[in-house]
Amino acid sequence: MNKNGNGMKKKRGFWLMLIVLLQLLFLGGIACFHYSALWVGKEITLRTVPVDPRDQLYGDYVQLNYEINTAPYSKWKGSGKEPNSGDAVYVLLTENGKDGDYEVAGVYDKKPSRSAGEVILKGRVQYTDNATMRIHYGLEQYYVEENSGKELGERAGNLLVHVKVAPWGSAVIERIEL
Amino acid sequence: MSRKWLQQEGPSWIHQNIITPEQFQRILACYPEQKRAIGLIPILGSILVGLGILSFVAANWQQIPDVIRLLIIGITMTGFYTAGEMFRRRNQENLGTGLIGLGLLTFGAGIVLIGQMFHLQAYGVTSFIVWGSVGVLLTYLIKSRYLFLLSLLIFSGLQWYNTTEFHHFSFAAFAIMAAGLGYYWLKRPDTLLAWCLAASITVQSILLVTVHEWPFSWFFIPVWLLYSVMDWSKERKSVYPFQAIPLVAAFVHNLVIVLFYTDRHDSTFLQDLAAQPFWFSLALVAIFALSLAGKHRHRRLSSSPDWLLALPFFYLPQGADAAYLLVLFAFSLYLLWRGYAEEWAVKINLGTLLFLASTMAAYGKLAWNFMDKSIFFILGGIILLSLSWFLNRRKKQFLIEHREDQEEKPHE
Repeated sequence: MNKNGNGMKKKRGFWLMLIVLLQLLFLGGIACFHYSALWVGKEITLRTVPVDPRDQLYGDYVQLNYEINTAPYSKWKGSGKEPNSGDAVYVLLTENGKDGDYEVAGVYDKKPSRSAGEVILKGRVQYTDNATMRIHYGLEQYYVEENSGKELGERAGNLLVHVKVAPWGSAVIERIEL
Repeated sequence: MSRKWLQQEGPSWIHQNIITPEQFQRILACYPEQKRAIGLIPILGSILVGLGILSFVAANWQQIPDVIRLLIIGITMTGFYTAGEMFRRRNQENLGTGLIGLGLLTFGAGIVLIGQMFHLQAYGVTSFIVWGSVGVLLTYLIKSRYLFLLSLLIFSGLQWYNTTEFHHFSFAAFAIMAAGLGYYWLKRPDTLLAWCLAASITVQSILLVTVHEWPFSWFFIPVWLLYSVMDWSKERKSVYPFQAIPLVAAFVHNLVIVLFYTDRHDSTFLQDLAAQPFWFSLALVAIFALSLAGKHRHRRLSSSPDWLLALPFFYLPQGADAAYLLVLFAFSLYLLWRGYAEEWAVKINLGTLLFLASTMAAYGKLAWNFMDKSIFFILGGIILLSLSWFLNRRKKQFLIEHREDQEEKPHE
């Protein structure tokens, strides 16, 4: 029994090692995926707009409300009818001529083709109302050290946020212009 | 068995020449002192240490450079897993499993923390599905109930998060959970795990229906499907939780209609609830047939009245609440009767509970408008107390008789 038991233990140890290794690779993979955006991504500038309440500091993060979080139905370019809340969408952004920040050019249900100056962000429809779609990109929270984001929180409605977007869709906030 | 009890009784057995003193010592050696309690302490200890480290790192997290943060996560996780496996090899199974569970939790925390490093807020649950799947793999590898429950909790939690936060139901997560944990359960049946798994599947079915804003009664379909599949199992008692939870869910559904619907209110309550009749009936009849076929095959057609609860009275233009009230009574009485007939304590307990619920629903429904409120509560309380006294006495009698029976002729 002992020999058999040892064999089983060894086999179990091997599988456990493999599973742990896969977890490490997975965590490393997510980190690299996001880093890659910082390294090779195209830099774009996004403008935030005020919301109520004005102070958007919640403990250890600041809630950011971008202009591109809301898109009118006229921007819907997908096949079929308008998306429901919970649907994944691809948002084509294009540079605004005078300010240099990026605005919504179209919202698609499948990944559209893009020209040189444009970028595509993947988002999820949060909710819809009569005229607009509310889309979240996962870029809406900016983590700060506890008790240090006061100024940022109060000015959250009027910021320029520099985001790097990799060609494969990963997007990361690089810095915030105060 | 209690060692203390053995120590007390042993000398009298020696005295009666049932066993020799040597045999007594050998029996005693089979029950080492306080093993169970000692097994629990290391798990509690590992949880405390883990929480301490977690809160320390969390407090200083933002000052730590990215690379170091990644290293901390990786090393902590690997450390927990390695230590867990080491203790398991030294036959400290509980402590080892506890540590491996902490490894799994660290993996989940790592996913969240890495997202935070890049100021990313998850807007999907894909990475959490990976987390839960790792939990399932570990459950298979370690064969532990603790890891089973942990994985179940991860999958249920992520589905809850997904539906409340993103208005989205992940079929992939549901499939991995049901297949992975369900198959594990088949290989190693366990009552507690069955109750938890059945409850999670039922709750997730409700989430599925509500998140898509389908008429609520559609949740009958997955829930009764679960019930019917279990009719095909040769085993009966161990799979009963998978049938009891669907029955309770259907019971509660009907109970809510009884309590909150009356014909006099001209409301759209039932219309909002009612699924499209043609497809719903078709699906329900198909599942009913599947269930009956399974019951027939294993000769337990006597449990068919369970299906009373599935009767779709919500299509009735009038009197739906009365019809449901009758069903509630019929079902709980039937369950009580079967419980005594089959000498099955779970059914008796469940039947008692449901019978009390039906009684109170009926009482509330009929008496609320016609009585002074204080008399209403006093009378209701008295009815409830006397009923529970009566049912409990019956149950105790039954259990005593049953035990005597068993002592006389140990069956099965």
